[in-house]
Amino acid sequence: MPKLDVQQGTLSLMILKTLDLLGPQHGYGIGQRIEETSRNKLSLNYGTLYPALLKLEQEGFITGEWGVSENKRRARFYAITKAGKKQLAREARAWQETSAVMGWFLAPRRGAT
Amino acid sequence: MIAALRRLAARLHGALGRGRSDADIAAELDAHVAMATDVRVARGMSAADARRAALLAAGGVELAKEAYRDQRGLPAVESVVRDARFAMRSLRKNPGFAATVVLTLALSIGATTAMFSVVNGILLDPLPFANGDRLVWTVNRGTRPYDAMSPPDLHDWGALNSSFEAVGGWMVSGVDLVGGAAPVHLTSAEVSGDWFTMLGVRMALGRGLVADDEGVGKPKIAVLSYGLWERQFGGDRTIVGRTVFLDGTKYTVIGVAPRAFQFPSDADIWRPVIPDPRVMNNRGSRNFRGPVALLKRGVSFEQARRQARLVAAQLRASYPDAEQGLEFDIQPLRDHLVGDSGRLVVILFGAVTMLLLIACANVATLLLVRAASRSSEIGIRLALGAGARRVAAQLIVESLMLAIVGAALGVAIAEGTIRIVAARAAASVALASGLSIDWTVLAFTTATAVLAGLGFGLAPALQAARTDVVEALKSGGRASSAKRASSRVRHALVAIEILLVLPLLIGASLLARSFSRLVRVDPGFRADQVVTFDLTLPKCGTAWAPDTTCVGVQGTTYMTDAAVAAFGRQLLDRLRAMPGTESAAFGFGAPFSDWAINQGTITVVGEAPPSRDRPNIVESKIASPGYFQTLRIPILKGRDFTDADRRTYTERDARDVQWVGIVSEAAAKAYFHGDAIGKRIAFGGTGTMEIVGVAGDTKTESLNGAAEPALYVGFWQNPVFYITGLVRSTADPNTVMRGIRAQVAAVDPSLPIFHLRPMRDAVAASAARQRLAADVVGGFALAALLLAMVGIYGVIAYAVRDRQRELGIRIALGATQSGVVGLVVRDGLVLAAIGVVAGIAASAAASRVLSGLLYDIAPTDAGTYAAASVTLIGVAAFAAWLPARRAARVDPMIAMRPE
Repeated sequence: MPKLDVQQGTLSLMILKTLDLLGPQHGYGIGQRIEETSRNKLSLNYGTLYPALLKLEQEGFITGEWGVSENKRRARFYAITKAGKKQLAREARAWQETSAVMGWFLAPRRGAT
Repeated sequence: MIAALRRLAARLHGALGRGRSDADIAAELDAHVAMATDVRVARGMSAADARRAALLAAGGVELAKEAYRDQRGLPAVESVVRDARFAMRSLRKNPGFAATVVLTLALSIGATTAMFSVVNGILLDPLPFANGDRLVWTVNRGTRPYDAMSPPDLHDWGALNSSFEAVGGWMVSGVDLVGGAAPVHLTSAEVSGDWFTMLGVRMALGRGLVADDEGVGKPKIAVLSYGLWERQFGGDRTIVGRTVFLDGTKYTVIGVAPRAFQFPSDADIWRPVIPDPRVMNNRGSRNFRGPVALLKRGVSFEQARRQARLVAAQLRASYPDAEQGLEFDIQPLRDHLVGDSGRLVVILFGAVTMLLLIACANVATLLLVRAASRSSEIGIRLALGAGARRVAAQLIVESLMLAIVGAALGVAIAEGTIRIVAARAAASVALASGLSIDWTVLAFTTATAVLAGLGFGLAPALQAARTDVVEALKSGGRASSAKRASSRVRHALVAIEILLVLPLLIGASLLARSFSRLVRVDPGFRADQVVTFDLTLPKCGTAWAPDTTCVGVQGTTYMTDAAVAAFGRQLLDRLRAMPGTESAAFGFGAPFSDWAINQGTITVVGEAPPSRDRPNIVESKIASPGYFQTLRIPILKGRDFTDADRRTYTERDARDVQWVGIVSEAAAKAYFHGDAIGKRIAFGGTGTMEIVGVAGDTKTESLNGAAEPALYVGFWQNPVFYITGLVRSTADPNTVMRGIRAQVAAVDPSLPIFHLRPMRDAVAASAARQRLAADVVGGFALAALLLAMVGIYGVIAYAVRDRQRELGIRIALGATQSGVVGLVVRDGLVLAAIGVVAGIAASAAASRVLSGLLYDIAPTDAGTYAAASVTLIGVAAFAAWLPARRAARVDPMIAMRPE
């Protein structure tokens, strides 16, 4: 089964949503979670994931802090900020609208009534 | 938007190295792989397989780090910082090159800025008037060319002319001020019309003068210059309304002019003009200096000019006798004021441009040499995958760094030079103390140098970017076709440098030789050991407008000739009694004094009166007994004045006195057929004067002028209230000057004395312009010569390195050291010769601007040209000889060893 590429702009939305749902997570966990949620249709190498995390951190939507993982490993944990939650709401709405529009566009034509 | 800004801030932060470190990011990525491995191990994979699978799933680590890094900071900024660090390293490895470029830039930027700031500050004082663009200067181009008008002409000039909004003229006189910190002698401008409003000047305090203030019987009022206000009144803001005494007459201060305002140029104080009724209707008089006029808005300069001609025609028609040959023309006031200095400014601009061009050529040469020698380094970097743009950027950063360091050093040099010049010139040039760096010029010169650096840094960079990697590596620093092309450019640049240096060198030697001839000119008198000073004895009002309320300065007045003579006798006796005094005298019209020279015409009794063809003009001077002795002017025939040549200063002696005069040799030849003794001349309308002596000729105003015919009359027969004192003393000039002050104060403590100085200084000041020109051009020439030497050295040194193998083979085959040196030096000489030939042609064309400044030497003086050319070729040979000598000492085994 061919995997999908992550579309521009959607990854940060997925990250924000994941952090909003699950609370603080390290990069690996976020990646796992996104892959699972996409029913393994998406695959993330860290050349994609970590720059996206850095960008969100620079924008102030998430914060990162070193902590200890469930397996007692040192890992950097990311958490969503207040600004991130606002951004998530905004982006989610925009995305839903876009996807609805795309849905109408791509829906099989009904017969002329 | 806000997110974008925040991101930029964070990235800038990262770029400056304060964000997350590489190690931090690597640790995070490691943690990722470790966790992924853990999961796989838990699923039952072996540790090694799990790790491999985890790495595979994660993607390339280095790729991720790279993406991360690009994302983290600002790659452009970071690479600039990296380039700068790299440039520093590579420049440090080659300090000779870096130092040469930096010094070249510093020298040219510094010298150019300093020289220009100085001349700009002294000569090109801009017009600080709001109406500067609409102000014009009136020129009389007729048969009586003179920058002045009679009162009726001035009136008509304004009244008949519809182009002007306002017209104003002025007269200048000296006046003694009492009422400030100390009695001082001032230059007073009596101005007409709405002087300050016409010029567009906003007064610092109070009001300016208006046309309504003019006329006999109007209140006595005056406007102070800002400098006078500060010096004499401590900048007191309550000055308006205060009274001061000018030559003993009470004046009320009504205003203070703004700081930058100085027009006419040396005025300390402005007063409304009091027209002399005797000349009010005399169209032949020339009382008003300059008339300045303000063009109406919307009237073009050309329109006003046409109308000026019409007005002149109208006046010629109305007054055919008095206005015969009258021709008016106008010129922008700015042009008139720059006027005489214009030539110096042209020379300066030429010198500045040449020095700057030479420096640019030098920097270009050096950068080209460096780029050529680095082509293999650049080749390697390209082969290793560096982007062509990155390589070019790196070279540009390097040139820019050199330019910035050079400019910084240049500012220091400019600052130092200006301080030295200001200190040296402060005594003789009024404005010198206010000199400072001209930042516009600094910006311009720096920009030019940087652009040149960029241009010549970029050209080889672009060439390098196109470099065939294999070719560059293969040739390993030996000749390739690209390098031959760049060596042609370098050689052309050196020849051009020589071409540019030669005119500067020739100009400098012409000016220096001219100056040394000028100061060795025999002025007809000996200034050494003579101290001179000026003073005026206050009178009350004028003959046509006597001031009846005048009390004199502290009660002393000098209204009568007898009073003046008594003062003179007393002071002269005191001066002669000073220790060290050999002789002392009074005079008027003494050589190189700052008084205007009086001219008059003489009629020899028994000969035809002066006519238009034979005007019999003489410089009219006054001399006390001892004058000729003090100045060491020889009496060629007849006798000197004695104390017996005097008057009793009574009504009747004007008829009975035996008037005597002395003429100069030039006057004797021109007007007395060489035999003047015993001849009588008509004098003053009352009687005749006998010529009793013939004195040697003297130069009066400038060393390069001719000695004009002169007539001397005796001081005791013509006591005047403006006096130049002359003291010849064996004592130190400073002691003499202190003594003079003390003696004058002892006779009348209220008298200000001025122009107190060794006479030598007065003579030197007359040649100050020539001296300034010689100094400035000389400075430029020296700098240019040094730069050209550096340029030639750089090119030859590089060529020698390039030919090391060839020279090694020659030495191995038996070439002598001197043969090799000759071979290399010849290359330098060929370039120098080409440059010199072209430079001589350029100099001949350019030196014409010097003609007005040269004394007794032609702008195309062959000896000077030859000397300058030989010097330049000598310098070129020396610059080529240095690397040649090194080349000749090379061990052929080392030179030929493959690299």
